[in-house]
Order: sequence, then C-alpha cells, then structure tokens
Amino acid sequence: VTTYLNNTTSAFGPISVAKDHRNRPLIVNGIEAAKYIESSWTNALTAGVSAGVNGTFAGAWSGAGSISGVYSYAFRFVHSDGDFGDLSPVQTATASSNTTISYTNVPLDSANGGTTTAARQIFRSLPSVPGLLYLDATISDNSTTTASSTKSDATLAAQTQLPILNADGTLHARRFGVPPATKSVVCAFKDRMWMAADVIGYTVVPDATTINRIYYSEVLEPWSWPTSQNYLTISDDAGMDDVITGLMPHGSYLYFLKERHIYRLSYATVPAVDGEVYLVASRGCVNNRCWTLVEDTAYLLDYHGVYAFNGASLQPVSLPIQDYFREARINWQASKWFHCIADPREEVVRFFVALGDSYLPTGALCFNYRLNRWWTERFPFAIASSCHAPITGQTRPIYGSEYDRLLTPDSTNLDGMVDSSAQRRASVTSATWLSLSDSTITMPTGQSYNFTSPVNCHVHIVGGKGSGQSRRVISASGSKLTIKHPWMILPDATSIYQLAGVRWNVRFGQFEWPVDDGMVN
Amino acid sequence: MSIGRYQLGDYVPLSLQTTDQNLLSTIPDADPAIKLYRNGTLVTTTTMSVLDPNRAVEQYVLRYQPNNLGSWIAVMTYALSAITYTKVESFLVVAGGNSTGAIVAAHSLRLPGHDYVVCQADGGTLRYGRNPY
Repeated sequence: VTTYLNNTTSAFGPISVAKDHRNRPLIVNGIEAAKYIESSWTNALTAGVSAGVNGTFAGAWSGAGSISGVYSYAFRFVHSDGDFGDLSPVQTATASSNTTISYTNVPLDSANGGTTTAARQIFRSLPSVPGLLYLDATISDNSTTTASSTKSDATLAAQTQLPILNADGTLHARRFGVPPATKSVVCAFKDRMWMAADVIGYTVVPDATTINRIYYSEVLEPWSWPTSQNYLTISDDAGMDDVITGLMPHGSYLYFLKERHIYRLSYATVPAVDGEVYLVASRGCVNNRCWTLVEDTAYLLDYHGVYAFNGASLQPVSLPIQDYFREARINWQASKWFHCIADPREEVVRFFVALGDSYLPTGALCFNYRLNRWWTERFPFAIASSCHAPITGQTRPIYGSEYDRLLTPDSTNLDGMVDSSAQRRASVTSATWLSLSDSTITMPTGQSYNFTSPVNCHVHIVGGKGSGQSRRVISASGSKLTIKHPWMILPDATSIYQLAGVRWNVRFGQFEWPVDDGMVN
Repeated sequence: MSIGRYQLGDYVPLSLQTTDQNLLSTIPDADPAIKLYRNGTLVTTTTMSVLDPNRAVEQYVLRYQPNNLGSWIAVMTYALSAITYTKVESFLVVAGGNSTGAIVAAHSLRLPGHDYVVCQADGGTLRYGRNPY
C-alpha cells in the first residue's frame, strides 16, 4: 500500500468509508471535512461543493433595448464531477429599456485549491418572479470573473429552471450543502448517503442539539446535504446518556446503533416525512466497526458481551467468555479502535479488542457461529483494523497492523515473514539482555516492509532457558538479532529460538465416553 | 526518569500531573508547555492537553510520535502563581519500526476494473493499494 492520497488525516479515530452510486468513495472521520477520492485515485480531496457567496458579485443592465423590470440573479459553483453548490443569496438588478446584463466579480471557488471547480452558473429570474430562476450564463472555468447575457424574457424562460424552493416548501436551489464534518460514520442506503455518530472525547465537544441527529443526502445526490431539513433525531427517551455509535443497513431497514440501544428506520420516500423509527433492542454496539453480518444475522459487540441480532430479536452468545466483560480484562478506554470481521472460510467472527493496557487491539474474541464455540487469541502485535478483499479470487480478511503492515492470514508458513529461508528455529549461541546470536547463520537483512527481514517480527524462546519469552526484533546484523525490550531471563546455549510466527497454546474441551450399564471397557 | 524504548511509529505517552509545592493537584496558570529534544537538539515545542476536560484531575497528556532515532528528552513545565515547575522524562527511539505508524483503518472497495484497499495510518496518512491479489 504505497500510493498516498492524503498526508494530514487526523488519527484521533478511524475513518469510515462508503461509495456512492457513482462509485465515488466518501471518507469521514467526524473531525475534518469529508473527503472523496477523485476518479484518477491520486488525491483525497474535500467532498461537496462550496455554497455561493456573493462578495462583490454584481449585475448591471446596459444598452438600449426592450428589457425592463426588476430581475433577481445569483450564481453557484459546478464541480468537475457535475455536482452543484448551493445558490448564492439572490440580488436584484433593475432594467429600464436595456439589452444586456453584465455580471462582474463573479467569485472564484477556492475549495481544493480551485482545481475541482469546472464552472460557475449564473441564474436570473423573470421580472418580479424572484422565486424561480433560469440559467442565464455559464462560465466554464474557475478563473474568469465576468459574464454577460442578452437573453430576452422569452429566451430566458426556455432555459434550465431553478426554483428556490420546491412546491412543498423544502429547499431546492440550496439543497446542495456539503457533507457534515462532525459525523464519523457514513453508509449508503436506498440511494442516499447517511451520516451519524459524533466524535466523543475530542477537543471539540459535540453540539448537544445535533449529537443525536442522523443526516442523510438527497436521493442520488451523494453530495447534497441540506442539513437544516434532511435529518432524523433519535431522542434519548430511554433516559440514559446513550450516544449514536453506528449505522447498520440490514435488509430493507437501516438500523441506528447506540451504545446501549438499537433503533430501526423504515420509510417510503422521504425519511423526515414518512419515516418511522422504532426501538428494537436494548443492547447496543461499541462502535461502527463492531458489527458484522453473517447469513442474515448480525453479530454485535457492546459493553456487556456479544449477541446475535436478526432484525427483530437478539440472542446473547458470549456466555462462555463472559469473564472478559465482568473482570475488566478489556481496555474499554480504547474501544474506538475495536473492530470485528467475519471469515466465512472458517465460519468465525473475530472481535478484536484491546487487552491489558494496550490502546490498539492485541486480542480477539473468536466465535464459531456454526458450532457456537468460543476461544480467544492474543497477538504479540496489534491488529488495528480489518477488512475483506478478494485475494486469488477468494474473499479473505486483511488485517492492518503496527509499523505499516498489512497481514493476510493463511498466506505463508509463519505469520510475519514470507521468505522461507529466513524462517528459523535453532539453538541460541549466546545472548545479551538486548540481543540474541546464532553463529551458524547470517541473519537476513532485507526491508521489513516486504517481510524478508525479521525486523519488526518477534523472536520467541521456545525451549531451554528463558522459554516462553517473546521480544520484538529491532535490527538484524550478521549472526545477531537486537531486540526492543530486555529479556527477563537471559537465554543461553540451552535455549531454542524461533523467528516470526505467533506463540499459541490450545486447550480442548472434554467429553465423557458413554458407558453401557454393567459394561466396563 | 526513563519511560522506555520505542520505535518509529510508536506513540510515546507523555503525561504530567500538575501539583503545587505540597504535591496537591492544582490547576496551572496555563496549559503546560513541553519541549522535546533529540540528542540534545530541540525538535519541537508544544502544549499538553488536559486529559479530563472538566479538570477533575490535573492530568495532562501528549501522545507523541517521534520521527527519528536517538535519545529523547521531554521537558514539561507549568506555572502556578508565578512559580515554575518542571518535569523531565527521557526515552529512547531504537531501530526498526516504521514512521507511517499502525494501519488503524482498512476498507476494501470493489470498483469497476479494480479492487482497492484504502488504509488509514495513525501517522496521519491515507493511502490505497490496488488489486491486492
């Protein structure tokens, strides 16, 4: 993963990504303005189109002719992708037997350095009909600041119409608001984009009036967010300080996830008009990365455990590992980084959580949903993110880890290294508190990012003195490995070391062999 | 006091409890300042953020991601009624690691023609990989 899109993205919390009907990825984090990835995939730029602001923009009539009356006019920006910005405030210019209206100081768009603004459109009304404007002039660049028009009323009336408001009083010419910057979760559902979940714990405290709002875009207009009208509010009627943590499209419904509750939305055409929101479960979800869908069942992690949710009822499933939730083994302070992923090949859902004092997840609560079996996994490195990707034609998990590493399970013989010649289990020749030597080989010294070097992998003492210790390798040179933290017990020549891989222990369940009455075998 | 060994890409947790001369937690005159030196050369000066916005405990933190190997010293200072207090901590940034940091978010996108994985690293970057097979 080497192609940079943006170098200044806040790392306070994870991003959320959804693609719109035009396959344009929208990226949000609740702190910065929403970004999109442009079609050439070279930049992540600010999403949305700026609203028009008049400044010194003006229109004036001139020339002797037959046009008379009070005309309203305004302008808007046009994105290179064809999206529009909000219309600027309407101004007026009075014609008195004139021919030409000249527009001056037409503002330039500075968003994304002006590189994504393809045009500006100037609209004008018919005399004394200020609520309905028509396209009067188009400036097909973002540099020219003047334009003019000689369209008569009849000619103007045949141009593209732009009403200020719809017939029902809702916004039309100013429905193109930019995506809200304060929401950290985005999803696509029924031809609209949806955003929710304020960032908690950041320097900027969430606005109490909007923290329970879920915003949505116009239909098939993923950059049109009239936030003054396109929102739903999930009131805290359960009497608890419950905040929205995620959005879960499931079947024909969109579920609003809070920390301790789930609400279901159904609507026909316009959510704010004919939508209904119901409380459907008194369990919630830690964050938007802690739910996953498997065969029409959602598995979610909240502060009380893991449960299965089929859209109507829920079933707690984590009883065998409930100690993790009762005994504070999980570092909930780091819960914004928790995530989960289902692996259909193994029929397992893994919930990655921070254990002990780590702030990124270093352990996984693993649930085989076919067998209803649980186990836990701990890793010597953090698994900070996960997603599915097609690899060799098969959808498989990808894990994001420390030190810029992406990992795929079941890819090589040992986790962490691909060079089989570098995979090594042998006797220690000598060791210091911060190193280990094996005089029989020369340690590979390739680049750590292509997994040919042991740097950033762990070295484990798997036999002899000091057995059971694992340390991260920080450099390899000659026959020596240097480690990050000192040994607790110094290995010696009786010790056996193992490069890379993950130490594991396993304990199976037990069952009784049935004994027939009177028979002893 | 040494607070340990770190690698590029690690966050170093620097914390400060602001106390008066009787070691009672006290609100300082202003947010504490912190100077970070590497091998004796000043690298950056900034302020620390209060851990609890309600200031129930006077704990200030800075999660710092060092950008170079070496021996680092953090000098934290705050003032209480015109008296300046100082706390010094040191740490080592050793070899290995990666300044990009951990990949804290990964999203797969299937688009016509290509598959993409968009990654966010906690060093502040957004990147993508294409056709990860």
